[in-house]
Formats: sequence, C-alpha cells, structure tokens
Amino acid sequence: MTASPELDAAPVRQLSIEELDRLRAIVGEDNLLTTRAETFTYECDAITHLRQRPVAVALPRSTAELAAVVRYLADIDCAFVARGAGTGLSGGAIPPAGGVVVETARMRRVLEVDRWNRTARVECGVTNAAVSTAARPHGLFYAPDPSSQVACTIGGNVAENSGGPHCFKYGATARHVLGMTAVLPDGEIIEIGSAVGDPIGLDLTGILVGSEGTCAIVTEVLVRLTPTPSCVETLLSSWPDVEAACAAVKAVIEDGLEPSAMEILDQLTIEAVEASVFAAGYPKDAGAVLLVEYDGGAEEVGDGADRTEELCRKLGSISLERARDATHRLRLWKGRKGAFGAMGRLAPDLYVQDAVVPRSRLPDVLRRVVEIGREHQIRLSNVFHAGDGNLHPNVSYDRRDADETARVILAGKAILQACVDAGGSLSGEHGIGVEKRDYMHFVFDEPDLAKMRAVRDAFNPRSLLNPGKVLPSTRSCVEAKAGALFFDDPDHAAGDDEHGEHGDTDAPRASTEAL
Amino acid sequence: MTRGAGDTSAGQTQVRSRRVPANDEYREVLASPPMFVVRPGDAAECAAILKAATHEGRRVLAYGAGRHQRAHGVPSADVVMETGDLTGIVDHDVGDQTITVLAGTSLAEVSGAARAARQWLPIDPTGADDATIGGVVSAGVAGPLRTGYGPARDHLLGTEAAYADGEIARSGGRLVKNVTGFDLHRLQHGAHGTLAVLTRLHLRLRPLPDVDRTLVARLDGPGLDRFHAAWRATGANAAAVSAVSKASSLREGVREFEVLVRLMGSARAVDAADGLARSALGELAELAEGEHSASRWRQLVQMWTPPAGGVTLRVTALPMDGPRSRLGEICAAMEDVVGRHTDTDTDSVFGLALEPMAGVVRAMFASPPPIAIVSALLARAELSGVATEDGPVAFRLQVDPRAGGIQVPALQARLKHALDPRGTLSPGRFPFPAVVPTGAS
Repeated sequence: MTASPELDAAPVRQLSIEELDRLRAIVGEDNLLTTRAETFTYECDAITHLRQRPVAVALPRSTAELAAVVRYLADIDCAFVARGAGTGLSGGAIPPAGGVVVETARMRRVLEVDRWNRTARVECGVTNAAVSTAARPHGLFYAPDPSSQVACTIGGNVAENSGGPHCFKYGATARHVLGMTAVLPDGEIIEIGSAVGDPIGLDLTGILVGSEGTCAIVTEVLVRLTPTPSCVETLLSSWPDVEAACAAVKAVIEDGLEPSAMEILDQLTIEAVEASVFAAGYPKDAGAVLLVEYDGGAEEVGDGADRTEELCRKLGSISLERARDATHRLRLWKGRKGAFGAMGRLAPDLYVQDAVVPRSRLPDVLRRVVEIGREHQIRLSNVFHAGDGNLHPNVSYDRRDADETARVILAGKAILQACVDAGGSLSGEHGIGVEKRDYMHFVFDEPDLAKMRAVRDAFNPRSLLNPGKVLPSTRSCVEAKAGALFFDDPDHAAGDDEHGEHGDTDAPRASTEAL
Repeated sequence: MTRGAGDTSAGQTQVRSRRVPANDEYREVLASPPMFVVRPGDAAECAAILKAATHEGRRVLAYGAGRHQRAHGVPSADVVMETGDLTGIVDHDVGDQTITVLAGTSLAEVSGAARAARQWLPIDPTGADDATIGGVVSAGVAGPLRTGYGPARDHLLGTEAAYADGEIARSGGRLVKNVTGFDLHRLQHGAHGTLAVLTRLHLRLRPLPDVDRTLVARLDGPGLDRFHAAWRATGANAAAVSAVSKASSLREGVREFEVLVRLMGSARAVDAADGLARSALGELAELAEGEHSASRWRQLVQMWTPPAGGVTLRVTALPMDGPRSRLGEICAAMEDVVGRHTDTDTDSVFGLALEPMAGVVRAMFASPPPIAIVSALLARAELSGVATEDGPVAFRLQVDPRAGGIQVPALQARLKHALDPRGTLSPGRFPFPAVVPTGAS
C-alpha cells in the first residue's frame, strides 16, 4: 500500500450522452454500464482503499467489438483500462480519472484445446481454472495457479505475469504463453507469437506478458498445456519458528531437490486458520508449518518426498505428516488456500504485502520482517511461497484507526526496503500497479525507468490505456526520494464501509483472492 | 571514434581499438568490412562508445564469439564491438541457485562454475564451448535441451545493457521470481543486439541431475512417426529428443533416422522413463551414460552448423495432427521441394535434424541451395516458418528478405525507434520498416 493513489495526469473528460450512445451501439444495450450502482464495483480491484469511479463500463463480446470500443475511445481522447475479474492486488485495474473500464467478462470461450500439440487458445475472460478444466479430459493442465484461479482471468494473468504456489516448479505465466491476439491502444488488432518456434524479430509476446495492461489489451491467448502428473506427494512439517522452517526450505533447495511447491505459514496464520472454516489440522503449538509438494512420475516424487522427510527430521522438525491420499492432501492444502480468508478473524482489514528475496536470505529477512512488525506495533503474519523467496507479510488492522493505518504504511515501506536491501525486489506476483509505483526507485534508477517508459510509449504513445500505473512519473520519483509522499487519508478510507460490500464478517476488507 | 568526438563521457574513456585488416575475419558476418573493432573493458566504456557512435552516426554490431552471427539478415556496421573483455562471474549465490555474469563470459565458464557447485545451466546451443552467454541470449538460440528446460529466456532473470544513447539500464534482477517493472530482458532475448548491448546477465541455475542417459535407436520414416506419437502419448518428460537423418542426399529420400532421447534426473526416475522410452523406440542401437551421454549431444548440435560455405535452413511446423505425428509428412514436403530444385547429381544436402517435440526441422546444405527453395518451402501449407540459421552473406542477403517477415512490423519499428532512434545498433539484422509516427496528437 503506498500511499499515493494519485494517478498521473490523464486526459480527463466526461462522456456526453451521444458518446455513450456510440459506445452502446458498439457493444449492445445490455453491455454498457453507466449508473453509479452499476459501475460501483469497478471503482477498485482487490486493493480496496484506492478507488476511482469510471464514467462507464463497456463489456465487449469479441476481439472485434473490443477493438471498436478502443478505437472509438482513442478517437475521442478518452482514457481506459482493461479489467478481468478485478482480483488484482496492486490497483492495476483502477480506472483512470474520467475513464472507461473495458471489462472482459463477456469473452469467456475456450476456442480450442489441441491435445496432441499441448496447446489451448482461449478468450481473455476465461478463468484460469477453466483452462485446466477444459484440458483435464485430455490428461493436461494449465500450470500457473494463482490462488484466485477460480475467479481470475487469463487476460489478467497475462497482464500480471501471474504465479501461484506451483510456479516454483513450472514457472510463472510468461513460460506458458506462446502467443496472443491483442488490441493496441489505437484499436489495431495484432496477432503475435506462434505455437512452434520463435518468430523472427522482437519478442512482442514476451514483453506484453507482465506489462500490467499498460501496453495493449490481450483478447485471446495461446497457452502451453502440461501433462497432468501421474503422482503427487504432499508433506506437512511443523517447526518451532519461521526461521527454522526457512532453514528447511534452504536445505531442500541446496540438496538439489526440485519440489513443485514449498509454502510456509507462521504461528499467527496457523491460529487464524485453525479457528476458521479452513481448519486443516495444523499443529496449533507450532511456530510455523512447511508444506512441500512433489509431482511427476512415481519414482521422482517418492525419492523427493523421502529425502525431504529425512532432511526435515535431521533439522529438528517437531512433527511430520505425509498425505495418505487425495482427501488428506486437500485437507493439508485447505489451510494454505484459506489462510487469507481466515485472517478476517484477526481484524477488519488485511494488507497483503508481496516482495521477493534470494532464497538464501530467507531466514535473515524473515527475522527482520518480524522485528519491523514489533517496532511498528502491528499484527503481522506470514504465509508465503518460500521456495521462490516470495514473501507475503500480512498486516491485520483497522483502517478506521488513523494511527494504526499510518504505522501499517510505514511498516510496509520498511519491509520492502529490507527486502530490497537483501537483494530482493518489490513484487513477486502482485505487480506494481499504482500501489508500489512510487517505490520503484528502491530498485531502479531513472535510466532504467526511462527505458521502460520508452517501451511502454512505443505501444501506448498517448497514455490513453491505463495511465499512471507501474512507472512513476519523474516528478513522483523525486518526491519519493525526498520523502515527500503523502499517505492515505484514513478518514476518507473509512467512508468506504458505508457501501456495505463486506457482508461476510469473517472476511477482511481487502480481498485476498489473488494470492 | 574511440574518443567519441565532442562527447565528454566518451572523451574520458580510453578504449582499446584496432583498425580492421583488409582481409578481415568479419567478412562472413557483415556485408562490408567494419572500420574499427573496439573492445570495451566495462559497461561504462560500452555505453560511452555507443553514445559517441550514435552522435557520429556510426553503426555498431556487438560481437561475442561470433557463433550465432550468421543467422537472420546481414548487419552492416562501421564498428564491431567485441565483448571479449567483458568477462567473468560477478557473483554466484549457490544457495539461491542464481549467478550473475558479464555478457562476454563463455558458456563453458558459466557451466564450469555451476558444475563445481553441483548445478548447471540447461542451455546447449551450437558452439556451446566458446559461445558467450550474451551472444546466446541475444541470438535467442537454444539447443536440444529446450525440449525439457525451455529456451534461454526461461533461465534469464535480468540484464544490464548499454543503450545507443549512452545510458546503462537494468531490468529484472537476480531473483527466481520477480514481476517488478517491465521485463526488458525478455525483449532483448532474440533481439540480436538491435535494441541494446547486453553487458551483464542474471541467470537461474538448476541442480545437476544425478543421472544423464541417452538412448539411441535407428528408425525409418514411419518408425519415427510411430515413436513420436507413442512418446507423446506417455506424457513422460525427456530432457531432449532429437532425430537426425544420415542421408547424404534428400534427392534419394531419407532412409534412416537416428533417434536420440536424453533422460536426466534421479536414478529411479531415469530408470522409469527409460522403460517408457524403450517401449516407444523399440530396439536400441546405443546407450550412453554420464559424460558419454553429454558428448553425444555435443556432437549432435555440431552437426547443425554446416561446413564452411554451407547453409542451415530452419523450418517450423506443428508436429502433431491429432494423435498422428506429422514428422514424416514434413520431411517428405522438404524432400519434395529440395528434390525439385536441385540437380539429381548434386549431393548438396547433407542432413536433416529434427526436434520432434518443438516442431523444428533443420536442413543442412553443404553448399547454398537455389534461392527458389525458400519460396517453395514457404508455399507449403504443412510448414509455418522458414529462416536461415547459418549461411554465407550472399545467400542470406537474398533469402532473408523473403523468409524473414516479422510480426507487426510497424510496432516493432516503433520499439526499435524508442530504444535506438538513430539506428545505431545492428542495422540490417531484422527488416524494421521506417517509423511512421502514430498517435501523436
């Protein structure tokens, strides 16, 4: 959470009745939302404290319609943003001031599954899980698995280069996207990539994956499918503290083992999980639990699990449990998958931080993160993709408490700085969006950012598509370096509650689906 | 040039340079000899040279070991910038399985450092012994291990690069998972130095597998198709799968393929996959283990490079049509085209090398084939792409304009223009059209 929800200056304009009618004529009467009640949901993504109301939401039904919408918006100089399921956790889908949201919910067709060449072509609004569902009868699956996979869309995954627990073995989205159809900010439709080989020339697919919806809107994606592993083994070990669990992760990696996932939950998370509907039977007296999973052929999986068990015992794990069957495995994962939902028990709001560090530095960095929590007197829990060095320090707080909110923001910044100081970076999977835009100078210097801007501007020369995201303006860089960032106004943030969107009292206000 | 007339930063830099001898070693790469060869000692010198070159309107070609310079177009350069002094391992975090190296470091040196820590970089392109890591990434080349481990791009975590305006800029970082900022390093992979000169790379290493085993069988065309379909159906993973024809003339038809399957992993995992591979391959002709296995593949990729004056054409095609392998059909299409365009008694083709899982077929010619072959291959619906991977300048000058169409050329030109507005870097490598300003209002 940074602080500055302020977006870069974009061409702000209100749409006239005639202009809205033109958009309606493109997408159809039912596919243009304009009233406050209709557009309310689109004010933010899963970072709910940063909001801006769109003037309209268009729901095109095809690439051609989407391109026509974009072409028209470009013609009238109206800024716009593409949105999938709105599960993003960096504010990437917040509309520009006076802008239009182009939502992909109507583009949900799985166009083709080529079992034998192991590819699928899907529209951008297809959910991540639906791709695997379509592939499953063919003995295949789509490997990236963000925890929001039931809701989040492939288009959003491409924009964010999404990961998930199993990208430790399989890699994030970039490794699984072979090509795409996309719409440039002037409405031009482009076809890029290939099912075989690399096309000659610059890798346009490679640069669009992870560009956070600031270069083009992807409308169809050609993805690589992976054979479903024949065997899976899941181990749960418990440890006196997080550092000990991290040391086990380090030992597994240094031993040359290659699990498909390695996840750690700390004591506060275990307590929250075990008191919730997501109870998985984790030992409540443990300082941390470590979930390790292997998948593949029976032999490699068995060897990996045996060796991991041996290492855990040698390093002093308190207890060790190996899933006997699929039901048992699902139970062990239930606590991990439900961890963020369970946090709602701790406080009304949850701030999910996301940072990465070298795996060899995990124990040191975790120690420092815990210290920062203490120094700032905040309730900090950790549940994270340990195998990738991808931390998710979570702060449970109440944003109506201005003093606590200010401490949360300062702690978040201190955690990011500690990660960067250890050779890490700002985000492992949530992206920069607007949330961390003004912290980019922690990692990159102005010449680095200038080249990134140049690439973005080659795609998006007029900044009509998703302005003000990812890259700080030169001005905000200077301000951030001078410590001149201003914080959210907690009074203003507290006002969000009046909308009553959080019916489930057990769920914290920040949606955590996208983890 | 070496002092960058009129430019302060370049003027402060002492760069080693030499005049190019008349009969220079770059004639197989460039359309005409360069004026200078320079060897910057660090990234700052590299950037200063580029700034001066841009200022003076000179064209620069970055040059590693020269192993992949004869692919895709013919650059024309006034200055060749050798990366031979940008070498060394900057940092190897053994516990994190990541390594940072300077761009001119040879793949062999990176591999040696990794191996000492029981790790490896699973990249095995042609010229692997002395190819530089910067060159391999810039050329976007991958060897047979691409089947099991992906292209170099998948092991690239970040870069530092010098740009035509004299700036040094970074992207990514030495982290195995990272989505901070735009991944310019992915754009630089396969860009053949047209956007920037790589100076430093962060790479992900893997644990060295316990067992390295290669199974070899000799199969005829239908046998290759049966193996391919059967292996696909198992869903098993191999580190590499390749098929090489022993035919010396396509005119006579390919009689026999040597099919190689490389299995890597723990002893039990390799044994299990070994059983599946044998059932798909049938009778084995050869079994190689450990260093013998590795050297078998080094021999194989050497074959991809034709003898002096020869040509390698790389053809891509979807490898499967439903449960049926298309490899036989693809080879037949190529035989047909080559047969129609070569003289009966010209033994110009010396082999075919297939990467069945990737849908890549390489045809190696001992001497340049008639240009008409390229158009004829492109006309075959079975084939989706044709490119030169290696060949003499004269051949590439004729072929690549026909074969080397790039996707969305106007957009690629805008990207090129954004990072190298005066066309300093590797001009002629890709057919970038002139930039037509768009969008500015």
